[in-house]
Amino acid sequence: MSTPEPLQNAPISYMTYEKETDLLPAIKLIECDLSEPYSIYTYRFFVHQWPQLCILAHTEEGEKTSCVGVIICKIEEHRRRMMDGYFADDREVLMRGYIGMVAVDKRCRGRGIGRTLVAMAVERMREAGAEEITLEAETGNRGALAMYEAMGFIREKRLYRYYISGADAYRLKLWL
Amino acid sequence: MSRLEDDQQRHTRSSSLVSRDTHGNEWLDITELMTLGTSELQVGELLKPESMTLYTALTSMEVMEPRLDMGMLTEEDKIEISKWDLDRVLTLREVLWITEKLFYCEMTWHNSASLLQTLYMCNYFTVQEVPPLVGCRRAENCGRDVVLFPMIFALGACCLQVWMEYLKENVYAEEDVHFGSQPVEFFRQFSHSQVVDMLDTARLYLKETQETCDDPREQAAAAVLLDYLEMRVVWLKSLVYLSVDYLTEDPGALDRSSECLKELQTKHKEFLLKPVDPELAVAVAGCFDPKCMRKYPSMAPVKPRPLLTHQQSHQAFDALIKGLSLIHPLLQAESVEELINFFADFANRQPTPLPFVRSLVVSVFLTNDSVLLRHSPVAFIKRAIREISGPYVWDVLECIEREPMQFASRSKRFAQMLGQDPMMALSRVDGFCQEAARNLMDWFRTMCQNAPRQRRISLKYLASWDVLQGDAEELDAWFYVVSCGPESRQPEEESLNPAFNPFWFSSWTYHMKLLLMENGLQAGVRLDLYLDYELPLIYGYSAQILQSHFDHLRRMQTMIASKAGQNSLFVGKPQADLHVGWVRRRVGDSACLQHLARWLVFIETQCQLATALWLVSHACDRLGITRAPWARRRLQGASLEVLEFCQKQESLESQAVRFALRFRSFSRLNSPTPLTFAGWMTTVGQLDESSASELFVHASRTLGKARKTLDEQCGNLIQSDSGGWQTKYQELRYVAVANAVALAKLQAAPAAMQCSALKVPGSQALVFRQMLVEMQLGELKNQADKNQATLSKSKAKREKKKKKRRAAKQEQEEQEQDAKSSMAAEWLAATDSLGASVAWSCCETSPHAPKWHQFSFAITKDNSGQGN
Repeated sequence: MSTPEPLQNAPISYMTYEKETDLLPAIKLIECDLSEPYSIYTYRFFVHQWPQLCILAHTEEGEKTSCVGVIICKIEEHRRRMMDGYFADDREVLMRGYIGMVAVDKRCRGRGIGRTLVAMAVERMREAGAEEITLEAETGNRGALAMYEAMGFIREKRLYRYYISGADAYRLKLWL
Repeated sequence: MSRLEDDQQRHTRSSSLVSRDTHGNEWLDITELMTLGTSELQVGELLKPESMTLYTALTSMEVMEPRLDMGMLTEEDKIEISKWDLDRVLTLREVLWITEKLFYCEMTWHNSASLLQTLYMCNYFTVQEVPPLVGCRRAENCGRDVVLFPMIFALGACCLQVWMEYLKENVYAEEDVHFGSQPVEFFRQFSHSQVVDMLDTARLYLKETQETCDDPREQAAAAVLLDYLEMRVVWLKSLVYLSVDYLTEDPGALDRSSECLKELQTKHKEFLLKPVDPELAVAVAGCFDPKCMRKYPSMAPVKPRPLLTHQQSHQAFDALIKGLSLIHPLLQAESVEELINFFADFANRQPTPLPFVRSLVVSVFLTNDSVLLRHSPVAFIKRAIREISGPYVWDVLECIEREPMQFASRSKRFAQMLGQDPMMALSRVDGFCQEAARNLMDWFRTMCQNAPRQRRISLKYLASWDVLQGDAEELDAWFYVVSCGPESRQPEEESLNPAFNPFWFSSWTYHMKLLLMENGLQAGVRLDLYLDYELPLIYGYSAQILQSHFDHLRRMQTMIASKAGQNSLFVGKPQADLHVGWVRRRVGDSACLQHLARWLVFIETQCQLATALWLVSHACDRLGITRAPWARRRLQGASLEVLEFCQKQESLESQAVRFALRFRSFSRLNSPTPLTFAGWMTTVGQLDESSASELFVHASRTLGKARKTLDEQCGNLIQSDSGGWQTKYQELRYVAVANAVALAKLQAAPAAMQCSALKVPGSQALVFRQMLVEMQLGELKNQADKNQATLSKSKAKREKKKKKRRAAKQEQEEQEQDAKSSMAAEWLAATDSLGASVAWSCCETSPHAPKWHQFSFAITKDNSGQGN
């Protein structure tokens, strides 16, 4: 197995999703880490409705620009099921941001690209009115958990057999 | 009419595009229509209805994309499938391979896979027509007809028994059971007796082969197949006897099921001890079709799932047998206390019992409005309340029911109640009991869900227990006012005063609610939901709840002891206890006090453990041994956005938000008074007067007390009534001892205990820690600024301005905090010194006590040179 060539020193720039051609390299990147692929409709569900919440990290590789990181999110109204003492009693819905997918090119890991993407997306969701942000991460994915927890997310609940592989997930939540 | 509609009509009329399949269905080729319909769309354009959700998108598939379209056959698939032939004459080695693989499929199905991902993959399992000579010795293809098919029929019969249980929907679809595919008629072709007869024939054939066959490998395969056959027969019998219908109708079924399970366990153990020859079974090409879902177009397409291995399958089978063995003690329980302990133990079993076991436990506990197959839920709940609240109120109620007039003549105080309506008291209590029964039944059912769902549902149900407690308080106040009569002074006011009113019903409800809260917090430990930095908060909060619980039980104990014997006034004819179920038997004062004493020991020692772990985790947090993740992560190279984000997490505001999120289920309860963040900070502030070393010492003493309580008091209590307490007490004792040993190890290390950091008061240490975190972040920000400088020129300019502003601000702050910083640096040096001598191994839970943390300090180096 060939070791990926590191891209440690190449500068990183961040841009917002604009068109379908931006999506294809991002899908390629995300699928590297997935045991099962998402259908194209899943990606389009996100990026067509919330293009501003799809942020891409690019770097120069020789003469071409490569996508080395991506975050895909959404923000929607969420019906409250539990009085939680934080939001006003008469509120039946709240705005919930959701981080659907995050991926960083293996060659660029350790440079804070994932954290930056998350921080940027959280800020955008906050500006869009999000009151809380949630996501799911596999219980064994220590790297992802450490990243989100360093940013203040807490493990709200555990989801039994959440993935096709039978692995559990944590629902992580950040209250804004 | 639009061009598209016109094209569509022309397309539909074109009969050449219509084809028929072998089942007579007509299919229309819509390729051309799709091309036309999508020609005006932009690349990537998505047309979707409002109703399309993320779930819809996630479950959508791309037709003819082999990774997503599970019905699509590739050329390789076609070649593989064509290798299988139903008429192939099977050797016993081949039958063994199929049998073993089917066993792995079955166990994978029990592990929440779909039938399509497991058993339906086997082509023999899904044949349209069974060969005519199945089960007949005169068949030519004996391996197939005499051995394999009868084994498959028996497997199908077992699966059907399990499926019938799943249909009760006691466990959750998707998480526990896949209802997308269901057993086909194939499962029902033969009755159990026909299946057993065929297995008898197979047994004879296999024995004969063992004795007469010339091929020793075939002989060996026959021996292994015989083992599988014997286990299958007993497994089928066990499942039949354990079905709720059978248990309800046949009183002897429980004992027979128990015997079968014991026999099965023995056979399985013996089987596992035999040497395994991996070369013995011979694969049959094309026999298992991983894309079998294409044959069932109405069933949800699921992606193939890896089967359990040989070892995992047998472990799962062992877990099934052990899990089902719990049905016997469940049905033998003779007190609600014992059942609460049974379900608590069941809920905490690791790994989580398989869905079938959990479902059956629920069914046996509650089916057709019957608890444990014979008791009414209302009678059961009354028994539950009696065990905690004592006989007083129940004797009064029963006396009214039996002899209302005589009762009135004997008691002036209760005549008032009869004056209103003697039966009203009874109906009001019954109404409450029905409501309480719903809550308690839900709770027991919840304990049989998978562990994460247990916690979620328990916390959700807290609100209904809170409402129930309100109802119970009203009932108690009413009962007290009515029963005290006119001679009592100001009964209305007294009715709300716990010093006068025993609060029989609400006391029980509050006890149960507190148990639910404690379980909810402890379940988070088991599920690994709390990070190290949250432990002081979790254990501090737990200690407060447990203290409330202890105080509550103590009050009840005093109240019941004070009422002991008073009820004799009201007791009419003695009840014929021997002929009624245990739920209807009287619970006397002494029995009730014994119940309470056991609960008190349990709650008191838990409170002590929680307090000790709170002190230890607080001290570790203060010393910097544990750090919040945003403070301990290496952030070099991180962007400013990230650094600022992390810095925010240390603020009090962020801490308050996390506190609210963590305890939001408790924040709306009427009782116990919810702990606010401000209240929590005040509580923590009380620890400031003690140094870390004092906290460790205090924690050690508290652990010692817990252990002493368990050692001294539990022996007697366990002897008088086991009630399932033994395991619980042992778990707590393990926690007390393991943590006491860890602390003793720390306290025995002079370098650790003489470290100056240990002597620093809490408030000062926390200020230092915050300062150091900020200093660290400041340094990292500078580092990040350098990284940012490599960005584009315009961005770099903006950053430069920002950097200037930040530098100026930082300089000002640095001047202000200069003095404090040197103290903080000293503290840091001290904690570094401590870190050099004490290695903190992250506290973890143990299989012996999954709901508690076990701290661990490894003394790696002793600076004093005394060693350890």
